[in-house]
Amino acid sequence: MKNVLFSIGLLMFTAATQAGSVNDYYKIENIAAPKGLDLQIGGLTFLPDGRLAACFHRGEVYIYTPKTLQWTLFADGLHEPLGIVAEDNYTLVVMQRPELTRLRDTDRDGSADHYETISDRFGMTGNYHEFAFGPARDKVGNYYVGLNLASSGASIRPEIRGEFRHYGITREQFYKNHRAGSGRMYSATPFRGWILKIAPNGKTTPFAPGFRSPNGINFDSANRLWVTDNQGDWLGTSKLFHVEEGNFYGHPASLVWTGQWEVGRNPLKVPPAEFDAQRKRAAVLFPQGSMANSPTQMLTDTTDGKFGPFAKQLLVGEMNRPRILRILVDEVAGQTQGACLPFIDGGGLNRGMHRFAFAPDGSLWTGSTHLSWAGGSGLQRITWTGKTPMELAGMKLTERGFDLTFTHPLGNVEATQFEFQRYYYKYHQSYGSPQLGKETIGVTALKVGKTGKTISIALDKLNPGYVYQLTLKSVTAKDKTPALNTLVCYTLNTLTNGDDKAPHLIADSSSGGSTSKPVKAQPVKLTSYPQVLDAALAGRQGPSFDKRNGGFSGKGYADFNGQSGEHLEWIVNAHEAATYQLAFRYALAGGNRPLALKINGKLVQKSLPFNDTGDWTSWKDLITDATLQKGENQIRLESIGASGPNVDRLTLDRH
Amino acid sequence: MCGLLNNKMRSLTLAFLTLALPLFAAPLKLTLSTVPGLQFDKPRFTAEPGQEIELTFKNPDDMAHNLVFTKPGRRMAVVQATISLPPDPERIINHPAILTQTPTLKPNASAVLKFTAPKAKGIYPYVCTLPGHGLLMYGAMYVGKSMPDLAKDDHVPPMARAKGANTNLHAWPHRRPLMYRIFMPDASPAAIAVALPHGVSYCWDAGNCRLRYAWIGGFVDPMPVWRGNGNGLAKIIGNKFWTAPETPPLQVGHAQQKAEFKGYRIIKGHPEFHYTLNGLDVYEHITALSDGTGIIRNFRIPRIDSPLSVTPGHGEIDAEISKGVAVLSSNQAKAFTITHRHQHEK
Repeated sequence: MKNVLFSIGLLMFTAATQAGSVNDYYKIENIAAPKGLDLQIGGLTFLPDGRLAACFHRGEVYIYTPKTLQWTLFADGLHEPLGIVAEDNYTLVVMQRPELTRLRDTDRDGSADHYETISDRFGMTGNYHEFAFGPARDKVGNYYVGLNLASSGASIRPEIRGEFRHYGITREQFYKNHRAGSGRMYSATPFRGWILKIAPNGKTTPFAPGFRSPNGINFDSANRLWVTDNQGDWLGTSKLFHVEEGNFYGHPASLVWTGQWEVGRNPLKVPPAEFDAQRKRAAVLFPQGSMANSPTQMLTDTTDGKFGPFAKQLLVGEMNRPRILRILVDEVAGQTQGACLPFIDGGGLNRGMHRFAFAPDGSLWTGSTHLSWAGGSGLQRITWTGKTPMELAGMKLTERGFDLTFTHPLGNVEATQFEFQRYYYKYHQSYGSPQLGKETIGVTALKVGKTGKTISIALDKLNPGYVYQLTLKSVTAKDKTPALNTLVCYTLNTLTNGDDKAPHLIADSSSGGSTSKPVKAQPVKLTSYPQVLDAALAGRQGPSFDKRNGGFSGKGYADFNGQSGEHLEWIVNAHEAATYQLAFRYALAGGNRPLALKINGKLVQKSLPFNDTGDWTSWKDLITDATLQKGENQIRLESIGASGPNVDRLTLDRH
Repeated sequence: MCGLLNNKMRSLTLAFLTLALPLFAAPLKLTLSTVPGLQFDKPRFTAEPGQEIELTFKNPDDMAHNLVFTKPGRRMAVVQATISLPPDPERIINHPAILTQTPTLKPNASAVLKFTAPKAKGIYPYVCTLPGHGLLMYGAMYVGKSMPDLAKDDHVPPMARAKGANTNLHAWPHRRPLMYRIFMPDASPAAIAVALPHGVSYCWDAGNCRLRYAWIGGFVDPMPVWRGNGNGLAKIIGNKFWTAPETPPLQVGHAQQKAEFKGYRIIKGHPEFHYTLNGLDVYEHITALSDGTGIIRNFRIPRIDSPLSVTPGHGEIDAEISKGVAVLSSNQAKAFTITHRHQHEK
């Protein structure tokens, strides 16, 4: 026993030494703030004079002088400000829920005396999820803001601002029963789900639709506009988009405000193939669970090396973990795509990494928030120690695979140290997507470049429409320093020859076909009651089997993919004909997704009401009765137009 | 000024005195002050049964107040009974539920009330019975009873309960004027709440550029919005005394009117709202009446060159009102005021 303990201790010690610590390279310190201030930070920016401006959850804007450690209140009373930029030392522009506002200190006394509305030319239903993000500013001073969709988990308010339009339902009807009209995140008033362009004088132009929750919006040093969006309906996983005017970025709710949308047409009834043909895919996907669950602001490293070896690269924050990611941008056949990897991970970093700004001295200032979700609060400052970590610094697609660039010359490497997998996320209206088509990809050739810092890798399969996930296995620099971060995910939309065809990304919802292979049920003999039948025992035509959302029992749960015609079926052998109680344990984050119940092919319940349980990790039983015959019975749940909940198990009981 | 007890109470107390003298606690000395916004500085205090009390009642507010102790559960009965009384600066009220009272105190006056706490354990309300005050300006004397959490105490006014619930909302001490852009009841999602001095507050709606309502008492409890992700409404603390009519307050000419919000300037801590009506600049600056009885809305329309129809709702304007509408000449419309006063509850 003693020996076992000893060797475990040794192992842990060795692992820690090998991995190194992010703090060897980056120092993270907490910045003290005024007592009584709710330190949920909506925006951060440095003024030309080197002071920091920050806006907070309860509507305050403070200015912090790093030299004197002094905080002064600049403005207050704002409505959930979620972004701030400085026009000069006395003028700040903030995006708050209802408008883009210019805060002006006209008498130079240190606090704003003029709150000028630059633009409020967009609608608000009062739904809590209608956050307003930005602004990003382009070279000539135009502002770009992102408007969230409303949550299907909540309604609109009796009074709204702006026009109401929602697929032929009146505002009063919708207010009383929004679930009847929404089902998914919705855009009931202009221009929810859009990026807007706002000129300094207030002229407001709809710029690009297709967003769900565009929390991060910013330009890089090459004047490209980037926007992050959050996993959910129509987003199989979280994404980073390179945004250009007029393109559609995938969430169809906002399309009702294009001016071309047929009034009354419900995007939820349109086959995804139609949207897929119009949409522009994300440049980078953040795999849910391993990379980011809620990406936030994007910021270019403009420090020219003061913040380390990644000048001009993009950084992106993450809400759920203490993590900042790096983006390795690649231009392939005229398209922007690329890879993401953890950059600063842990090491004393707060959770809820929401907003960032570089100080004139090249230190990175970070602000956290949570708004009652996963996240954190507080202000931190990160400085580079001057030591360069062993890291992947570049990843470029080639005809045969990838060219990788590291910060230091590589030690001896072989093909098995570069473990590739690929998978894809389905484009559909269901919430999120499992990783589909997951397979290991073989490395067929490996060649280290002259400097020793680059390596060319050839792969045995290279196709568009996949995330190529690379795990570095004990890859070290020549001096044996191990790579600090070892997981990287490249989003391959387009091959070097321009081929971007990826028909596997869309579900064929109209026919009920699915990317999940049909699975046969394992017949179960009923012996004692109550008897629990895991979803793993059921046959499936359409639903996939998953275990990403916690709280399930048994091996996992079934996840309906398409809208209708999919089924889940248990086969049980009853020793006598009788009425049995059927309890289906399920989870559903929002809306209603009724399923039909068929016993032995006969429809016994047209519409079993699977109502929302509040969360994908909240499981409830839906109980009904059914008569089973003696011998074999098929108990089938079938989707009837509204997809289905995640189904964990069936419990059979006798009365 | 000496304490006043009705005869019945006095004889009861005397009887109790002779029987239970050795158990008496030391006399209780305390000060109770008024606070602008129809509040007492102490929403409650405790006393022992039969304890001698020497209470100094101070009125630093800029309006008159009194202090009346009643029998348990009889505060509203006393308040209702006094509403119809004619104003009387020195009045003493005769009501069987009153234990003791001060006369009405002018601003900056004070009085000492000496009395004996009842021997019966209970929660004895105290209240200012001046018309309109009794619904908000009250507190509770806990005699021989322990007090619950302030945030959950139904015997204190809602604003005192809210104080118990949120003590530290910002990094600065509570101040008035104070402004929040926040989700408010009975307004569009682009609502603005402003707390003015003297306990008056209002809701101005940037969604349709108009004042929606005004209330007296505390300000708002913002926590239903701030606690989470915004899926809530701020809660008004106090009583609404004015609500806007459905008709827009200002109409230039007869054309369909489009209002656009332009923001606000801060003038001595108070916002002056700026909006346009069909392109015409309108400014509205709202302050509290200096006696705390309501609000005054100062309008400026510098470039108006045609008559203006004003629908003030229940309010005062220096013009003739016919069918709820006052028509101002373009000259009058360049600068005018509307006053809304706190109406006494009937």
